This record gives sequence, structure tokens and C-alpha cells, in this order.
Amino acid sequence: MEKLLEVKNLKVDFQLDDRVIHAVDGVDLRLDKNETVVLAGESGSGKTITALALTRILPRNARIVSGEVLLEGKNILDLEERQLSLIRGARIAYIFQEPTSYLNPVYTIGEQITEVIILHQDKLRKVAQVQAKKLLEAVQIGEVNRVFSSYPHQLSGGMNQRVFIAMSLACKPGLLICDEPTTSLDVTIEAQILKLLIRLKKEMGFSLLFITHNLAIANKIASRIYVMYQGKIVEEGLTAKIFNDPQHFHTKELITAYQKIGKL
Amino acid sequence: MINYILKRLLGMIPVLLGVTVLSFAIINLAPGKFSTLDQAMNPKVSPEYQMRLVKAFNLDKPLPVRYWLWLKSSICFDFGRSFSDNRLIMDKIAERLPVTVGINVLSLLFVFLVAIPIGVKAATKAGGGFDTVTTYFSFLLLAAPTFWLALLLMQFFCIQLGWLPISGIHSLDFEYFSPLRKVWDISWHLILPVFVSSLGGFAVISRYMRSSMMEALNQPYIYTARAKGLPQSQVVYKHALRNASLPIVTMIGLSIPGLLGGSVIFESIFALPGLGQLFFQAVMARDMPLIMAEVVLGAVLTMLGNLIADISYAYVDPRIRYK
Repeated sequence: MEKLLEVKNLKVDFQLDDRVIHAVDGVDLRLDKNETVVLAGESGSGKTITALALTRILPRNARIVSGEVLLEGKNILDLEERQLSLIRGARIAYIFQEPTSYLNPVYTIGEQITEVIILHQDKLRKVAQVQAKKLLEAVQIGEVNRVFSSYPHQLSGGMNQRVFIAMSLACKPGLLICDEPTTSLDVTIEAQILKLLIRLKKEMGFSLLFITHNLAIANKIASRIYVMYQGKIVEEGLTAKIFNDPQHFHTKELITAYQKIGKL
Repeated sequence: MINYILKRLLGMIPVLLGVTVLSFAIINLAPGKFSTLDQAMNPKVSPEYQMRLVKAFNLDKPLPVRYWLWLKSSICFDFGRSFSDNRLIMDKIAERLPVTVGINVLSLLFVFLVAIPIGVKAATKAGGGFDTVTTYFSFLLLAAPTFWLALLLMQFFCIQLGWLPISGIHSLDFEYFSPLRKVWDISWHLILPVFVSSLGGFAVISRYMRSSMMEALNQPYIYTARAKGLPQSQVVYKHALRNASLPIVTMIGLSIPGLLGGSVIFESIFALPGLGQLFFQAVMARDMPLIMAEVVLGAVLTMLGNLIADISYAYVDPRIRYK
């Protein structure tokens, strides 16, 4: 398989008033083209920060201490802000946890999708708007025109997540990073969104880095799983192997949790 | 929206009535009567003349009757004649309105053009050198009384350096100037007053801008904007600024009455023929009809300011809609 992304020894620190927290402490990851990899772990284990660090969109008080993020062999953490911003949204795109608060409340859905098309593809506004409406159709939104001119607060969470997917895939990125994209949604919507993601992945052929604490999802979609605990990758392997023969106690915890929920 | 505006305008009527009743009572409770102020010490004024004045302005009637008479004519925008020079109040206000409105609009513009970028810059580089300097500077401006600063600036720029005119709205030989020169002459005279009247608002707005901008920059949608690859300028000025501008819109609405109050001070200092100066003179002369007209004007401006702020909310933030 052809390698798309390789993360080597990534370390991210948080500078608090009186101490330093090593949120990401030497993470190594690998992702092939067209592959779906799950990064699992409990809340606070450093999954989200790892994801944000890949394109340097960290919070103000976080700092990348060391490490390399190789995108098709080229270290993108070395790049100037300007060049890196050409990669964000165009080659690496994100989907976040709560779509309604991750969409800007004061701009219409249409504007927020159109904006990213104009930015990366240098298209006229009219052309970009037509393209944005096509994207909304592709994520199975019925009343495209109504949604296009709506504001995020006028739509449901599931609808906003569809919008978000359309927005993130607008420039056909090679890598889509989903940070718990269904955690804030109810189960029926969760299943719909996952199905949609899987279908779009087949159609468009991007790699998927899926962050979750829910191993049930991981079991369904991932070819490989990384388990993260306290800022470190504590276990990695093919999905079947992780489920059949977990080594680390945190992996076992996550699996038992998922089985317990299954029994409820 | 139209319905909402109409409802708000109707709602202003009782408030306005309350304002007039209170101010009418307060002015009449204040010591000193117009009929005795100038005339009592003046041997040329006969008691008969005084009585004539009292009759002419209905000053012999009881307070509620006088209020009723005032209200009846005011509803038709007839605020009567000034006690001091017997001219129509409407004329006196109309000739001074442009100066005050002009200066206040200019200073508001100046405040927003300078204070908003400063607040934004301070927020994006919070804790940095620029932030620290502007923080100290704005506290200094907030603490310093405007009239004192005005006098210092006049001393420095007008007397020591001689760069700017010290007072008035135009030069003595203004009438003989060409139109272009007239515009230039007025702008020249307005620099210092506009600057001084902006200083207070300047400090307040830049502080507000900074804090609401810092809050906006921590919101989830900012991560989205960055993840999309937008340049920092668009992240800040397109995605954060509009969300951060709600408190600023409130400030505009609230600052409108303050502007009229501030005009009283700096128009007196700079000898500008505006409403503030007129108001001050009216109070000193116990010129009742003029005082009342200015109070009504102030109240109307205050309420309109609030209405404009509420309407702008809906424009800035689509989550706010009025029914």
C-alpha cells in the first residue's frame, strides 16, 4: 500500500500557569492511501490534540515540541504558515464533534461552503455556489436551496453534520480527519452519518483518520486501530487482532465497555 | 420587522411623556426664576414690565396648567419661543444641530475606525507588547478627565506649537473664503474637538473589542475556519469579528445620549456653537422652553439609539429575530 501520512515522534505541550502538560507525548502514526484508521482512547488521552497538531491548528497555549508530519513524504510541520494553509482544507480536511457549534452562527450554510471552494479552487462566486449546491445533494440533503440559505441554528445537528461533511469534502482532500463526528448525535442519525461517510469514501477515495472512544464504530469501519492513553500510543494493530488479543489494559477497558453497552 | 419597529416607536410615547413630566418638574423646582434673574438687579426694568413677561410666558399659572399648555403645543413640534431672545426654539436648535451632529458623527467614526482594529490586534496577540501598551494607554485615557486633557492639548498644539486654531468653528474672515477654503477651514477647526470628544469612547470601545474578540477567537467555529485553510486575516476579520461585534453594537446605542452630554462640556471648552453650548446657556439663564426642547431631543435620541442598536443586532446576528 502507498503511504499517505506518517507521523513521527509528535510531542505537544500545554503551557499552563504553573506547569507544563505533555498532552501528546511521542506519537507515531501511519496511514495509507484509501485506508481507514481509528484512533481510539478515553477523553483527555490526547486524540483531538494529535489531530489538530497535524496541520498546526492548536489552541493558543499549546505548542508542538518535536516531531514530523510527513504528507506524501514531505514534512508539513516545517512549512511556513502560508504554505501550510494551502494544505488545510484542500488536502487535509476536518470534521468535528458538534457541527452546530463548529459552524459559524452568523454566516449561511451556502456562504460557509462557497468560501472554501473560492479559497482553494480560485473559482468565481457563481460557479462555487453551483458547486456547493451539488455537494449538498451529494450528502443527501433534500431541500438544497432552503439549506443553502439557512443559518446553522435553523438546522438539526444531523443536518449540520451533513453540511459539514459537504464543506470538508468540497476540495476533494486526500485525508479526512473525523474527530468524534457522531458523538453529539443520536444513534439513528449516527448510523446515517457513518453510512454516508463510508459511501463517500468509496466514491471519492480519500483516507480516513477516525477518532472515537467507541470501539463499536471502530470494529465496523477500521482496517487498523491505534489506542491512545495519556498522550501515548499504547497499542496498535489490525482491527481483528486488537479485538481478539488486546494487550494493553486500556484497550481491554475500551473493549469491555463496548461489550457491556452491547449487553444492556 | 416593520411591525416590530412600529411597536417600538409607539412604546416610546409613554417613556417620552414620563421624561417630560419629570424634567418639567425638576426645572421648576430649581432655584432662580427667569423673570427675576436679569431684571431684579436692573433699575431700568419696571415691575410692570416684569409682570408683562410673567403673563406673556404664563408664569403666573399653576405648574400642571403650564405643563399642559407646554405639552399641547409641543406635540405639534411647537416648542414656543426662547425666554432670552424671543426667537423660535425650533430655529435656535435647527441652526446649531449640524455642528453637534457633525462633530459626534465624526468622532464616532474616528472611534470605530481606530478602536476596533486596536482591540482586534490586542486580542489576537493577547499578552504581547502591543496589547500591554494599549491596555495601559486606554486606562490612562479612561482615568484622565476630558476637560483637563482638552486644556492640555490646547496649550500644546494651539499655543506652544501654534498648529491648530484654539477655538470656534471657523476663522474670522470665513465669509470671504472660497468654498474649498471654507471646507478646509472648518475641518481645521474640528480636528481638536473631534479628537478630544473621541478619547473616552476610544478607550472604552477598544477594551470591549479586545475582550469580546478574545472570547470569539476561542469558539469552535474558529478552529473550523483555520482548518479550512483561511488566512489569519480572514479568520479574524470575517469569522471572529462579526461574532465579536454584538457588544460593540450595544455600546453604540448606549453612547448616543452620552455624546449629547459630552457635547455640553467640550463645546463650552472649544467655544463651538452647538447644541451643548446652547443647552448650557439655557440652563444658566433658566430659559425653560429651550431647556425642555433640548431634554426632549436628548430623550428621543437616546431611545432612537437603543432602537437602532436593537435593529443592528438582528443584522449582525441572524439568531436574533424580532416579531
